[in-house]
Amino acid sequence: MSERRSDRILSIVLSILIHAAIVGALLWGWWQYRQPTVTAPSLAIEATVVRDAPPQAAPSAPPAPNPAPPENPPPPPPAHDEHAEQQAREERAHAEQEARQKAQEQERAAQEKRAAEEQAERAAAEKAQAARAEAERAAAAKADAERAAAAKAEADRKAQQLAQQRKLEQERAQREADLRSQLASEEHLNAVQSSPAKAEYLALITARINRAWIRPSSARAGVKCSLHITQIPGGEITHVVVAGCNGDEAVRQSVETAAYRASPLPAPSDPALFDPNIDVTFAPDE
Amino acid sequence: MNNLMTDRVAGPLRQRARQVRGCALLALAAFGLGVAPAHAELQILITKGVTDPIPIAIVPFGRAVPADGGFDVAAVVQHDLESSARFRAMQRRDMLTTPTSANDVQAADWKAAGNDYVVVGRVTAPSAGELDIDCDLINIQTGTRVASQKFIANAGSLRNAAHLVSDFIYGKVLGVRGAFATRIAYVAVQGKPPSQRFQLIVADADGENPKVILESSQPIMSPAWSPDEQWLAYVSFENRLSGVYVQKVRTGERQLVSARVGVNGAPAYSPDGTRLALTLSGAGGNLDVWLLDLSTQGLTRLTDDPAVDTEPAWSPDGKSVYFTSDRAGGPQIYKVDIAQPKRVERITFGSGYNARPRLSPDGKKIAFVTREGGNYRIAVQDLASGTVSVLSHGALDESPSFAPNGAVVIYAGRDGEVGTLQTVSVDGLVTQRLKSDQGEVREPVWGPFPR
Repeated sequence: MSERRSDRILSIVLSILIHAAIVGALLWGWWQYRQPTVTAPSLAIEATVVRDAPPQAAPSAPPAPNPAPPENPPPPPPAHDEHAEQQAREERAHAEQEARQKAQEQERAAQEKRAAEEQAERAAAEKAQAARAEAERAAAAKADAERAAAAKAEADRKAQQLAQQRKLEQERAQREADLRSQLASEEHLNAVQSSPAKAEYLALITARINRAWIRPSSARAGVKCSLHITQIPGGEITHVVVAGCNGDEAVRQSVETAAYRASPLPAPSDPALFDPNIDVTFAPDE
Repeated sequence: MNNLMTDRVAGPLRQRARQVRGCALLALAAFGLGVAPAHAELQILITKGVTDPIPIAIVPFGRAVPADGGFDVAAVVQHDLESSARFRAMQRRDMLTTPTSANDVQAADWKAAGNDYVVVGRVTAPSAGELDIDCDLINIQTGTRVASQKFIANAGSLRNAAHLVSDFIYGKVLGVRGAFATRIAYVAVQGKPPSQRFQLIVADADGENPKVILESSQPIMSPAWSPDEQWLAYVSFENRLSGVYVQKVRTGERQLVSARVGVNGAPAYSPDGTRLALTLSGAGGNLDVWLLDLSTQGLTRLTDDPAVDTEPAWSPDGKSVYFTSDRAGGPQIYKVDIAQPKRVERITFGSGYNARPRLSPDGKKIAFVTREGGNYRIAVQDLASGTVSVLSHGALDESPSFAPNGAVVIYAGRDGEVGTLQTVSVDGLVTQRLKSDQGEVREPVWGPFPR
C-alpha cells in the first residue's frame, strides 16, 4: 500500500513536532533536574524530641532527729533546826537520795527510750535513703534508654529520608529513561505498524481464528459479531468479551468458542507488534 | 481472501491509530508525564470460518432402572448428531468420568480431550408411567452452561424424546432446527415378480421404528407428505389401474382423489396443503402436469406440451412448480409460474439427464437425479448461481428428498441388486446408509417438521 502525499507530509510534520517535543521534554527534564528544587536537606534532620517525661525529682529529705533535753532534778528544799535539821537533813538526804535514785532511774529509762527512738529513726532514715538511691538509679536508667531510643529514631528517620531521596531520584531517572525508551519504541512501533511484519502478524492471527471458527448454519451474510480478546505474552487468550452480536445464540457461542479455541495466538516476528488487546469482528460474507 | 479483507479494514484504522498516537506523543512531551503508550489495538476480520464437525461428548445419561427399559438415550443422541456430519462425538471408551449433571463436569478434562461441548443428562421416573429426560449442554471452551432442557416422555416415546434431545442440541449449537424427530416414508418391495408384496412404510428419520401403513400385491409409488405431516399422497395400482390416494397416517383413513383415464401419477402437496400437483395423461397419453384442488376436485392444467411433463415439485412459496420434461430431447428440469403457466424456464443444463426435482426448504437449492458418466447420481444445484454439486457416488441413485432443515438429502441407492436408503449431507461430506430389513426400498421422502 503506498501512502498518499498528504499522509507523508502529515507524517513529516508530526515527526518534526514529535522530535521538537522530545528535545523540549528532555531539556525541561534536564532543567528540572538541575534546579535545586529537590527536597530541602533541612528536612532531612527534622526531628522532634521524644523524651516527654522529665527525670523524676529527688524525694525531699526527712526531718533531722530532734533529741529531747534532759530533765533537771528538782531543787533541794531549805534546812530548819539542828536535830530537826539533822533529821530533816537525813530525811532530806534520804529523800534526796531517793529522789536522786528516782531521777536516775527516770533518766536511765528516758535515755533507754531515747536510744530506742534514735535507733528506730536511724533505721527509717537508712531505709528512706536506700529507696531514694534506688529511685534515682531507676530514673537515670530510664532517661538513658529514652535518650538512646530518641537517638535511634532520629538515625532511622535520617536513613529513611535519605532512602526516600535516593528513591525519588531513581524514580525520576527511571521516568526519564522510560520516556526516552518509550519515545524510541513509539518511533519503532510507528515504523513497524506500517511494515510487512504487521500485515503478516494480522494475517497469522486471522488465519488462526478463522480456522478455529466452526461456523454455524445461522451465521449468514449480515451477521456481525465483535469480540474483545485479551492475550498475554505467549499468545494465551485470557479473556473474551462479546462486545456486540446481532446473531443468534449459536453464532454467539461459536465466536466465543472460536476465540478460546484459537489460543495460543501466534507470536509476532517483531515483539513491538505484540498487543494484549485484539478486536475481532466476525462478519460472514455469504 | 481473508487477508485482503483484513487489509481493507486495517488500512484506515491504522492511519487513524497513527494520528492518535501522534497526539499522545505531543501530550507526553508537553507534560512529561508517564502516560501508557496508546497502542493501536489489533483489528481482525473473520469472514469465512470452517465447517469442521464440532467436537462434542455425549456422556451416557443417568438411568431410571427398570422403568426406562434399558433404553440408551445418549447412544441415540450420539448417532443422530454424528449422522448430521456437523458433529464429531467423543467415544465412550475414552471418557475418564461419566457425570450426569453439569455440576459434576470437570471442564479441564473434557477440554483436554478436545471437546467444544459436553452433553450430560439423566432419565428419571417421577411417577408411574412417566419418564423425564433432563439434559444440560455445556460449552467447555467458554466454561458456560449453554442451555438445559426437560423432555417428558413415557416408555413408548423414549426414542422420540431422544431425537428431541438431538434436535435441542443441534439447534442450540448450529442455530438451525434439528430434523431428528421427524419421519420418512418409503416404499418397500418384497419378493420377485410375479409374486411381489408392496408396502408403504413410515419410519423415524434414522430408519428406526418402521410401520407399514399400506400393503398391496400391486405397485405402490410416489409417496408425498402433506405439509401438516398428517397425510400421505401416493399412487396405487391396487385396481390394476393407477390411482392417486391420500391417506391419514395415524388412522389409515384414506381417499381416492384421482382415477382418471390413463396415467394418474406423481402427486405433490402444495405448501398450503389445499392442492395437489400431479401428472395426468388423459386418453391421449400425453403426460402433463395438472393442479387438483382437494376440496372442490377442480382440475387446472399447468403444462401443455407434446413432450413428457412429469414429476412436479412445489417451490416453498407455492408460486411455482418445478418438473421434468423431455421437450428439449433428454429429460431436464423446468420451472413454471402458476400465475402465468405460459412462462416456463429451463433450470438444468449440465448433463444430458436431469430429473425428479425436489426443492430445499428454503427454496434456494434444488436436488435431482443426474447422469454422470453412465451413473445416475444425486446432485444439488444452487438456484441463484447455477452451481451443481454431485453428492452421491452410486450407480443408480434415485429419488432425492431434503430433510426439513435442509441439511441432509435422503435418497434410494443400490447395493448390488437391493435398493437401500441413504443420506448425504448437502456439502456431500457424509453419506450414511439407513438400516432397513424390509427388502428392497425405494422412493424415500422426508416428512416436514411436525406441527
